[in-house]
Amino acid sequence: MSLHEVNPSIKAFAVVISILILSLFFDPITPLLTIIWAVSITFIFGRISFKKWILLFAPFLFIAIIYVWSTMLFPRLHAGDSVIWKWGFLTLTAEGFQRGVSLGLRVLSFATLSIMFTLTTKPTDFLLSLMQQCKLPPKLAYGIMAGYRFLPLIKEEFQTLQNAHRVRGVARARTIPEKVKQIKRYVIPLLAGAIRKAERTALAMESKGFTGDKNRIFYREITVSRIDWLFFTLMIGAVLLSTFISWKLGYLQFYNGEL
Amino acid sequence: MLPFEQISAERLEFSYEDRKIFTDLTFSIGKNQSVLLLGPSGSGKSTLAFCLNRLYPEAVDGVLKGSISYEGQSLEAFKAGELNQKIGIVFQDPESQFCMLTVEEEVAFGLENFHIPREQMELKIDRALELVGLQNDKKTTIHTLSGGQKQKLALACVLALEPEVIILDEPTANLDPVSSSELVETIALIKNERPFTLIVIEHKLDDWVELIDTCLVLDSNGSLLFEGTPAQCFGEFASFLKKEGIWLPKVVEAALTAKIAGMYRGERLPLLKSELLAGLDYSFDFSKKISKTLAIKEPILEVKGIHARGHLKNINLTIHKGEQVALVGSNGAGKTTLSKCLAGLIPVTQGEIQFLGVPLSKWKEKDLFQKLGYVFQNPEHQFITDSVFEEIAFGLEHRASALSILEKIGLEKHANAHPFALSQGQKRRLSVATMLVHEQELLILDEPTFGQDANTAHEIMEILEEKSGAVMMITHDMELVDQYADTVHVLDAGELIFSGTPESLWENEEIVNRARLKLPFRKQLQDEFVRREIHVAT
Repeated sequence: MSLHEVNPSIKAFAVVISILILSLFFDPITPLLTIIWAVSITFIFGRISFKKWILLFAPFLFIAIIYVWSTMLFPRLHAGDSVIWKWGFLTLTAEGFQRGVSLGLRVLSFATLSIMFTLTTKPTDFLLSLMQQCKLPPKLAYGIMAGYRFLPLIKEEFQTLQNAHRVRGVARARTIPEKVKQIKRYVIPLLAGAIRKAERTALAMESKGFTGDKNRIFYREITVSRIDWLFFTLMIGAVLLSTFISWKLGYLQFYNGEL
Repeated sequence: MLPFEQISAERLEFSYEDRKIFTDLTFSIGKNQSVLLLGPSGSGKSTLAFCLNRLYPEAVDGVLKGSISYEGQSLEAFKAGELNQKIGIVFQDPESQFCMLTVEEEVAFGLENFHIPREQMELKIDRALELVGLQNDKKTTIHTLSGGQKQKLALACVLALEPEVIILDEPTANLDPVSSSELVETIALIKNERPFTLIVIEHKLDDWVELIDTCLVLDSNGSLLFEGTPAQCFGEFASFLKKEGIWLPKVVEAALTAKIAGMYRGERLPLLKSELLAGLDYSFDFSKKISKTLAIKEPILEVKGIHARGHLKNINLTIHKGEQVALVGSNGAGKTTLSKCLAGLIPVTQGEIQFLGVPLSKWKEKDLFQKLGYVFQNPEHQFITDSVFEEIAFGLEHRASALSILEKIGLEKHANAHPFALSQGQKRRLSVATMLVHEQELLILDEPTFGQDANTAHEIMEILEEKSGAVMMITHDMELVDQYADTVHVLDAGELIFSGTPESLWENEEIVNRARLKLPFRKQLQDEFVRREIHVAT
């Protein structure tokens, strides 16, 4: 079994429900266990290269560390909090520490689940599945697909534009009015180019008989099997089990708007 | 009267934003005919093609008057999408006509739209890909294909639907010479196997001439100028077409020149090389016009063993003062990358480039681009102000001199217009002119005549010839190389495989084939002439 073969819509559904459950609680153990679970299945059943994964994970790790740092060092002090360490105006309390870690792990648990989905799902498969299982209108789905193809083209165009302006001898913008002017200079040709490309693609799609008709026969059928639902159950089960263990250990509490 | 009228148009008129694109077009196309649609740029050829397919007027806010019928039935009577199965179209730009990621998905997209049962899809996809020779690329992602392969894929998508009419809107515009010929050959083969009506809009006519049986010619106002056989069209109206800025097949062009010089004896202008040779006087001189010889060979740009981002390998070349240089090679050989390296727009990973005796990396950007110009493929990219006058005057010390430059390129009447509001040809001329104001020592151009009609292309080359400094241009057009270049550099897969005069390149068959080039028409003719002489002699 491979994560790549799981029905994309069900996979997405499982991730969304897991995140919703996780967001109900606020403690370090539940997200920690979920992270371990999500990371292990990503590598065992997804066969994802570590390099790819860490590239996506790193920014979240950074955010999480900042979270932990700031909540630990600048806690809201409550009476009765046990102080671990004090230096000048900095006070580290046990409660503050736990809050910080919980917040950080929460961010990371959302991240690991989402990364698992992104790295094991082809965008085309996801859109096909959304059309076939979730009745997403083809007009919208194929529009998104065409747009997705455009992204690298637009980036390329932007670089060309920058070069073309350099050759014309436009000095690098330094002051704010200059920057505004520069943006204006870029936006018009970029938009003109993008609109023209989009028009051409739309025309090409229409010329192949695309009308947005919802009764399509798909060349690639994305199916739903028992394995998909098994995956769904396992995912939700794992998150619930994490909460259960956390409750047994006495850490579990409902989320109460802590930041 | 035609055997069977498949498409007929009556008093067609299309206007867009109060401007008439074409007027009063009445014509008909018979089943399985091959029609060439000709006209100068801006005469509404593509618009007409889109109207036949009923993509227009719905897709734009245009007004279509008159009537078009398909097999006796008015186009309006067809259901949405129904007509698209009967009339397929391949567009000019290989980038923006796909909406899926892989080859098979793209072909399937069309079949899905027409509710073809899933069991049949696979077979139809395989057959269509086989027809164009892409059967081994079924699972390939589209963006890794070359330009030529993309155009073949676009054709396969259309063929899979088994249409009765196929419209090709400048399908070879972005292709190198050999890929263009291959595409035409592919179409001719398929048409033999499974007949369909073909409507072609094209600039480069040589490969098509033998396939075509009817020409429809529009003039610059969008009225129908001529409808008839190619022999009539080019044989009797060639000089007229030329005046309209319409490209001619090279055989016709050559015969016309020869006739004016009194060296062609034939009654009518020929369509085939053999006819041309038969009608030529023996005194006809095939050798090239002698280009201005370079008196002093002073190098201005020296490239020493540069490598760049895995594209270029160990390139060495020198450009001299006042030299006209052509850079040629197949699609994806690295021509644009090299030209950008020479302008310092892409860093080199190894090696050195010296411009006017100073390494490129030591130049201050502002000073460098006063001495070195670069014209990008898309003129719009280089416009930085709100008016044509300001474009020229930008960075000039004596702003008044901008007017004289505008006069030179024939844009003085448009001085206050927004650069984006100009026509394609005018934009191109303006973008070249912006690079001439500083009297740059070296001007690099990326396909300067791309997509231009014959008159504009000619004007651009005239501007470049008058220019004092050196010129280096990337091109797929071997005629340009033959006529204008002093030196030609050939790139193949990131390596420089030839540097020398055009004449010596044409003699080197191995290089010509390896780089997917073609001989210029003059040379082809000369070779054939020599072959005949030998034949007659023995």
